[in-house]
Amino acid sequence: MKRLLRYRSCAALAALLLAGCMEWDYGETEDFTSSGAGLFITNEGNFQYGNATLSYYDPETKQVENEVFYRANGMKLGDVAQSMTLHNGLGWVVVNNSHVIFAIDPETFREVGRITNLTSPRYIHFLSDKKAYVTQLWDNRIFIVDPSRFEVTGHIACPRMMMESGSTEQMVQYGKYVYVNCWSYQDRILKIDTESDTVVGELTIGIQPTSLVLDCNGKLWTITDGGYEGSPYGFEAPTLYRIDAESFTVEKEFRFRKGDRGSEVQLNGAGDTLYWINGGVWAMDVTADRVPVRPFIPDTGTIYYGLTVDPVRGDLYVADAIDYQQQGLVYRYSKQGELLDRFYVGIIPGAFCWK
Amino acid sequence: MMHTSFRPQWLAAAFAAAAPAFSSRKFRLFRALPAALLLLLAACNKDGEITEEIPETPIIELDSETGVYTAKVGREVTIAPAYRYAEEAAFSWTAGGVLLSDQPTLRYTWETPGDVYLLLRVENKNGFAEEELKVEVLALTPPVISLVLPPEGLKVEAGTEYTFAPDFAHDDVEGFRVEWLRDGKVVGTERTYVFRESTPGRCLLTIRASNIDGTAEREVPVEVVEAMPRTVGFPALSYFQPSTDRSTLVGRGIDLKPFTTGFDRPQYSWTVDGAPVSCTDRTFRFTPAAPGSYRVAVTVTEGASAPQALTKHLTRGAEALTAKVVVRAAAKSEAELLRAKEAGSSKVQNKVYEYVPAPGQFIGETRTGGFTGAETTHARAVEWALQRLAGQQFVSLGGFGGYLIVGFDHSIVNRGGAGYDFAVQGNAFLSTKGGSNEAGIVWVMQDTNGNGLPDDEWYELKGSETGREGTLQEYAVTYYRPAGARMDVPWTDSEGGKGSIDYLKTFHDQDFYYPAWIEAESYTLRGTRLPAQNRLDPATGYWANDPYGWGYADNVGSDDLGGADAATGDGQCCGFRIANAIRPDGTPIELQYIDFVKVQVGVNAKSGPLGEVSTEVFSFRDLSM
Repeated sequence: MKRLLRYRSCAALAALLLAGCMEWDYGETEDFTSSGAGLFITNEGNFQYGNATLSYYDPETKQVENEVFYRANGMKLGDVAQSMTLHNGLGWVVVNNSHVIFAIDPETFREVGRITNLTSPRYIHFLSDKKAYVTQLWDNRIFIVDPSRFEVTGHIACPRMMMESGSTEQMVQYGKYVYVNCWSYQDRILKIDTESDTVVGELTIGIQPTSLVLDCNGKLWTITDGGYEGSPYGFEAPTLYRIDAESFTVEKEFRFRKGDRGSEVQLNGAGDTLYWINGGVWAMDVTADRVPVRPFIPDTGTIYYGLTVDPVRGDLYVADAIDYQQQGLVYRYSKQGELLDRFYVGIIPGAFCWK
Repeated sequence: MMHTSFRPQWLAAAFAAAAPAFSSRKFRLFRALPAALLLLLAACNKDGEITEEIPETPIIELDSETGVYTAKVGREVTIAPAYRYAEEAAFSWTAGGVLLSDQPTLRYTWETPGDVYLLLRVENKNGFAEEELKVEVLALTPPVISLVLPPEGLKVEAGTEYTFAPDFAHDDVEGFRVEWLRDGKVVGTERTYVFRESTPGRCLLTIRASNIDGTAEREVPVEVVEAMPRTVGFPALSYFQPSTDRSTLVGRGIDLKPFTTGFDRPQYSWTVDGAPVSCTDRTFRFTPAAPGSYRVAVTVTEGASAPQALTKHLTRGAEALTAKVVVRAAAKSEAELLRAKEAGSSKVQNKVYEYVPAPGQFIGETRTGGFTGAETTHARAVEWALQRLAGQQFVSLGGFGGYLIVGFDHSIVNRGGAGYDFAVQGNAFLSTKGGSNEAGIVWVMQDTNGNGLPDDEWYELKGSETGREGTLQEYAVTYYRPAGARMDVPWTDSEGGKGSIDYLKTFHDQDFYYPAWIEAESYTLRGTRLPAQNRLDPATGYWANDPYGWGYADNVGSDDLGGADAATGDGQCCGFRIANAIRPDGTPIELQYIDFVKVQVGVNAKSGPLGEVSTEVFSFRDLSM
C-alpha cells in the first residue's frame, strides 16, 4: 500500500489528479463572531476525499470550534487544506488539491473571495496588499497573485526544476529577498528578488528540506527529511541547517540519524528558540552548539504532524495525525513542557495560523 | 548546558596563548589564590588596555559531538570528557538522581536496554558546569538464521546436490562467522553449504552462526530418499474452512480438481459412490441429480512408470494414489434458499467471516494500520476487521492472496447485469502519473447448504484481465514466518519463484508483518494473479500502479462509481455484477443471488520503497438498497 505512505511523506504529495475542479454544494450557514486572538488549524483531510476542514481554537477559553469553514459558508473547504496565512485582516486558506485559495473573514469565517487557476498551491506569502507569491507542488513555477483582485498575475520560473517533479514550499522574507525551500525530490533553498520577481540565488543542501523559518539573528533554519530508503532521489541522514540569510551560506549543520524523520521547524515569538519534529518535538536555543539529547516532548509512538508556538504566551501546540484516518488531536504545552490542554480537530491537522 | 561566568573571547585567546608558560603546578597555585588577590594579580596593562581576569568555572568538552553515546547490555562503556578549569573540581555523574560515579571519567555497565539520561556536573568554588548526555543501551544482537523449509519437513533425493543459502541477520556485527555441522561434525564455514548424500536415510544438519553478541543455531533434519514422495488431495475451501467437503444444488455442476505432487505424467480416474465415471481429466464436473451426499474419489496413476518385472513371478505395478471428497446437494431449491431483504435490512456488510491477509506493512501495525495489538487470534482479527469496515476505515489485505470474506444480513440479488449489484469501497485513484490501483479479485458465493457459513462454492467475478495472457489462475504463494523480529517475510510461489515482503523499518516498525493470528510457521494463499502494472516513472521517480480496465476492487476502472475526488467527499468505489461470475474454466455460472463476498489481492508485486502492492477495502454495499 502506498497511498498512506504518500500521505505520511506529505499528506497531499500527490496532488495531480482526476479531480479537475471542485463542486461546492451550498447548505445552511452559521453565524460566528470570533473577535480577539485565536488559532486556526488547517486539517488536510484524506487525499482525494474532499474532507479538509478548518478549526478555530481560543487559547483564552480553551474552546475549539471544528469545521468552521463549512459551518460558516455552507460548503466544504475542499481537498487537502495545506496552510493558512493572515494578511491585512483576511485569512487565506490554501487548499492544495482543490487548486484554490479562499480568503475568509477571520472573525466570521465567511468567504470573501477566492483565487483559482492554481496548479497545486502550498503556501502564500504577501509582499503587499496587491502582490503575493504562491508556491506549488509538481510545478516549476511560483505563482504571483494580486490578492486585491483574487487573480494570478504571473509566475516566477524556478531553475533546474521539471514541471513533473517541481516543488516549492515555505517562504520567509529577509529584506527584499524571499527564500523558499524546495522539498519534494529537491534539495535547495531558492533566493528570490521581490523587485524583479526572479530567482537570484540557490543554495544546495540536503535531501528534501521540509520547512523554513527566519530567526531573530537573521539566520534561516531548515530541516531535511533525508528522503527515504529506496528513493530514486536518494536517502541520507536528515539534517538541521542554520543558514546566514545575508551571505546565503550554511553556517552550521546538525546531522541526525539516517532513518529519522525531521520536519516542521518553528520559532517562538522572540525568534530565539527553535522547535522541530523528529519523532518527538525538540527545542533548542538558536545559538546552541549542539542539539539537546532529550526531546522537549517525547515520541509516544503517535504521528506528530504539525507544530506552532503561541507568539505571545510561548505555548507550544503539537498536531497529532494519530493514524491519518480519525480526527486528529492538538496538544498544547507550556514553554516549560507542561501539558495545558488537548482538543480534537479534523482529520490530519497539519498547519496553524495565529490571529 | 554550561553555567559559567561571562568570559570575553579576547581573554580566552590570551589565556590560550599564554598557556605554555604555565606549568600545571603554577597554574594550580594561581587558581588557589583568594579571589580578591587573584583579580589584583590578574589585572594587567598592556598597550594601554586594561584587562581583568575573572574566576573561572569549569568547562566540559564532551568526547561526543552529539552528546549521545551507545552501549550494549552487559558491556562497560567509557565516557571521558575533557575539562578545563577543573583541577580541584568535584565531579558527579547521575542518572535519575542516582549517583553513578564521582570520577572525571565514567566507566559503567548497564544491564537492561533503553535510553539513559545522564547529568554530568563539574563544580569548583567559582561555579559549576553541567551537561546532559544520553546513553542508548542496546540489546545484544546475536545472529538470526532464516532458512525457509517445506512445512512437512525436508526431503532430498539421494545423489542430488542441494545448496543451502540461509539469510543471516546481524551479520554486520563484529566477529560474525558461520559453521555447518553434519551430525555434529563441522563440514563447512561458508555462508552457503552444498549437501549431497548418495545413501537414503536421515541426518541432522546444524547451522551455527555467531558474533560477539552471541551464537544462534538452527537444526535441519534432512531425510534422504530415493525418490520424492507423491501426494494427491483436494484443497480446502479457505484457510479457516479446512474441510474439503463441497456443497451445491441439485442440477448445478460442481468442478472437482485435485492437487498432486511428485507425478510426472498423472493419469486420472474418477468414481462416484464407488461407481466409475467416464471422466479421465484432472477436473471432473459432478452434477448431482438428486439431493444427498455423494462420495467422489479420484485415483491418480503415474503414467511414466510402466509395470516392472522384479522377478519371474513378481511384477511391480505403477504407483496409484486415491483422494476422496464428499459433495452434498441441497434439498432446497435456489429460490427457497434466498434470504430476501426486509425493511430493517442493512445495505452494508454485517459480518466478517475470515480475515486472512498475506503479510504486509500494515498488518499488525498500531500506528497507522489501526490495529490495537490485541489481534492475536482469528476471532479478534475478524472482530477488528468488522469494526473497521463499519467505520469505513481501510482493512489492508497484505501482499498477494490475502483475503477478506464478508456477508450481509440478506442475499444480494442478481439484477441481470443491467446495473451493478454491489460495491466495494477502496482507495484507488488516478493521476496523470498513473495513480494508485491495487487490484483485488472479487469472488462470490451462494449459501447453497443454508448453514450461514461461507463453506460452499466460490466463483470469481471476471474482469478485464480474465483469460488474457499474463493472468494466472490457481497461482499460489506460501509465506514463511520470519526467524526473528523486524525481518523480511520470505515467500515461494507455485511457479518456482521466490521473494519477500520487505520490512520497511522507516515507515512501519512493528516487529512482524506476518499476521499474529496465523499460528502456522507458513501458510499458502491461492488465487488468480494479474500481471503487475506498477512502474517507476523515470522522469519523476514516482511509483505508479496503473489501473486495470474493469472488474477489480481498489481499482479505478470503467466500473468506478465515483468518489475518489474532491467533489463528493466519498471514497472510491467499484461496482460489481453477479452476472460476471464464472466457473474455473471461464464459463459463466448463473447465480440468482449471492450471500458472501471475498476480496483477494490479485497482484504479486512491490513498488520499491512503497512496498508490496496491497488491496485495501473500506466497505461493501448492496446497491439495490
